[in-house]
Amino acid sequence: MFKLAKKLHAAGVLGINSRNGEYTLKYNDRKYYPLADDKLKTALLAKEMNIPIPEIYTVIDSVGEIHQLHDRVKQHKEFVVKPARGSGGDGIIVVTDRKGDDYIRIGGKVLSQEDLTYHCANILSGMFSLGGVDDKVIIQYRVNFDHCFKDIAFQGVPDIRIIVFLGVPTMAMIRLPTKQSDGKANLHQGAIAAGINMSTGKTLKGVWQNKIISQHPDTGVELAGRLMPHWSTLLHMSARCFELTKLGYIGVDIVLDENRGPLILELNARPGLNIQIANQSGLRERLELIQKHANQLSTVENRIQFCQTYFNDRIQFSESQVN
Amino acid sequence: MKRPSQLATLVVLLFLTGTGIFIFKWIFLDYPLTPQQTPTVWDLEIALKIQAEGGPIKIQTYIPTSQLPFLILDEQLISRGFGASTKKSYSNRRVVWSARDADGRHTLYYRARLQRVNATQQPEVEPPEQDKHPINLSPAQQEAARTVLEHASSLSADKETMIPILLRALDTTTPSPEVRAILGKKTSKLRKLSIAQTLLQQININAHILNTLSLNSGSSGKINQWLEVWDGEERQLYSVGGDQVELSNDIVLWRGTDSLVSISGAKLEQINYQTELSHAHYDQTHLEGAMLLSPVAWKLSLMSLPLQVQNVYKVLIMIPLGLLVLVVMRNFIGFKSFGTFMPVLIALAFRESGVMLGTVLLLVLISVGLLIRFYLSGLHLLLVPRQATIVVTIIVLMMLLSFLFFQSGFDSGLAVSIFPMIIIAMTIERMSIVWEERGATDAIQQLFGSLAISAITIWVISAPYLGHLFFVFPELVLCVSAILILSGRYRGYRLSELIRFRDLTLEAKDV
Repeated sequence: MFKLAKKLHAAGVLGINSRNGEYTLKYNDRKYYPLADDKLKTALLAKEMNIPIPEIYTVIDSVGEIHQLHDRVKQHKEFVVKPARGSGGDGIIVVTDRKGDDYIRIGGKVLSQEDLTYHCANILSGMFSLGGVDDKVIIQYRVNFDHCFKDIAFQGVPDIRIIVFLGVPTMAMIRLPTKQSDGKANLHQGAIAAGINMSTGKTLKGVWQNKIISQHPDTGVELAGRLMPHWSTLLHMSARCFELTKLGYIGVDIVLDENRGPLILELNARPGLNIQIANQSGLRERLELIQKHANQLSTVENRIQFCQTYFNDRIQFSESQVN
Repeated sequence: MKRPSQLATLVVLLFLTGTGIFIFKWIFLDYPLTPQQTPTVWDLEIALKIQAEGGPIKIQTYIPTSQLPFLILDEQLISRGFGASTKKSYSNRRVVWSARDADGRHTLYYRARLQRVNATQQPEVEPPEQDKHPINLSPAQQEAARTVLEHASSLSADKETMIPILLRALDTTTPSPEVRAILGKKTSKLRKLSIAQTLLQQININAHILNTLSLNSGSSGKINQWLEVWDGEERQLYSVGGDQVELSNDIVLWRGTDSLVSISGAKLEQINYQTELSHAHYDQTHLEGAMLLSPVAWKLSLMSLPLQVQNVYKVLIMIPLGLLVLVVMRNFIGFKSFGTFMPVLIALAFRESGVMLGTVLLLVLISVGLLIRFYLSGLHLLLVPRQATIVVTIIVLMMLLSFLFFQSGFDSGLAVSIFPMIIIAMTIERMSIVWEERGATDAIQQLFGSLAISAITIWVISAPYLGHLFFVFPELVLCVSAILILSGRYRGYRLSELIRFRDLTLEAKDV
């Protein structure tokens, strides 16, 4: 057991205690947390800084307004309903179509007007918010996913997660839904995660259920070596989120929209550690390197250059490890 | 860096304070470490049967003094129609019964509960003052005494070896003519001891006669006399035969050659000492012994509080341990649970039902609650009224369970406390969200995580040994907080992460 712990330490794997104690606790000032936790605040700031986000159609912040909901979304066929302070994707409803007065959810389930109002009321009373405090409902543009990953994302929404430490994009992965994950990008529900080479923007091999794989299990398409479209834009956007939130250690979730390009979906002030599994590499080495050079990393350009110089092919897998 | 050294200081300080007070109370104040350690408590009863002759009566008898290794926990004087008081003279204590006018037979009782403590200290007895020549010797006897003393000292090296020789010379079956001259016709034990005392006093040795009562369970106690010889602060007891004695099961009644009872205006018909080993009134008495040893420490202990408050603290003092379990389970092992402190609260709620029954009860309540929650969500109730409804449902459910338990003669299920309903309702709400959003697997996994933490917490906080330890030594909470603070600095992997990231070590090998 201790041997394993030692080996993991040698591999630079970051554990949750270490992430909390040495990174989020130290580099994320409590008072800036709402900028990441409250999606409405994130959106307002992002708009100010010209960082692209999915357009917000309307916000409902009191129960009295709920009945106006159906009027307000009249002109939108597709939209997303989400709690402003939700966590882990809880409480999000994606509407893709209508049928008479009813709404059709992404899986084809029918949602009556009343069902949707009820859901909004639940959001408002804080059912999905951190700590159960009163919340707001955001009605938002539904991202039309770029088709570039259609062959490796089974019926779902691939999203890109970039860990940004002190403004330097540190590690990235793309989460690809599979048949098993039911179109969701959740790793332990069976989605694939593929690490991304920071310097080239190309995917590494995928990790699926703790196994390294080279082809998508549903489509059989090669996973490695796929170039992320708009890679340098992605790096720029994520790097600027440091200025946006002033939080030192964040996870930036980005989706690629067919028409609008990359959009920031949300920021996470306590990003998970699965990204290490996706990249088959520990975070610590990179984080410590950034800490060492922190004083040279004042501009966005510096930081991106830094990340592309240092975080390149060291994480490529050798053939022997592929099962 | 300032923080690590501050942290270390804080942790060490907390830990040392905690263990320091703990060790002090344990070793020096004899607070019991385990609940099993049965204290030796003796019940003593002195009963005097008297025949009053009409007219004023005054009866005095010696009673024990609190003196290590025996402490008097409480005493009673029972004597109808008599005034009673206790009196202290020198190192002795007496009870005085008196009546202006009494007739007929009376029985006067002195009752006491004595506790034997295993204190390591020497008995804190002040050397008593020198007796004023208890026995007057005639000039001829004086002469003989000198010869006896000279003879004894010629056969010995020092005081310590001289005393046994002297006592043996007095106690032999073939006494020398000098000894016979001193003893006279009376050859009782008391006479021999008081002669020895008188002789020793002549050569300036502080000696006394000590009257003790031996404690024997179920039989009447016996009064013994010893020669008590003081050398500065140290004392040594000798039997009449000259052997050195250690008192182990005897309590000191009085010093001197007086008789136990002095009586006027009545006839003493019978005197009876009854001693009985008693295991009753366990907790309280044992600790009262500790109280007598150090009243200040006692005032600062939980046992000095009123009983209801004590009962509250019996629970509260265990919460730090529950939290320690929680921290270990979450931060070191990596269990997932609903809410941060919910498992501890659940454990507190079901503490009295025990691990097994508590877990079963909780599972039943949560499953039924979940079903109702799913049904209610179909009715489109708002959050707060919905949760309130679930709380009410749980109260009704608990009531039904209580009826069921009671009818089947199953008492322990009845141990319901007030606050678990809210906690269960919150757990149900959290669980149903996880269920809807992330699937049943996640929800059940988290439920079992919570249950596992709760079960271990119940087990820890209801362990009688730990409960006793923390209640008697609440300062141990400081040690727990030291551990909690230390664990807050733990940056290593959680056990679950070793499994989660185990494949990443392959990489390490190849680099």
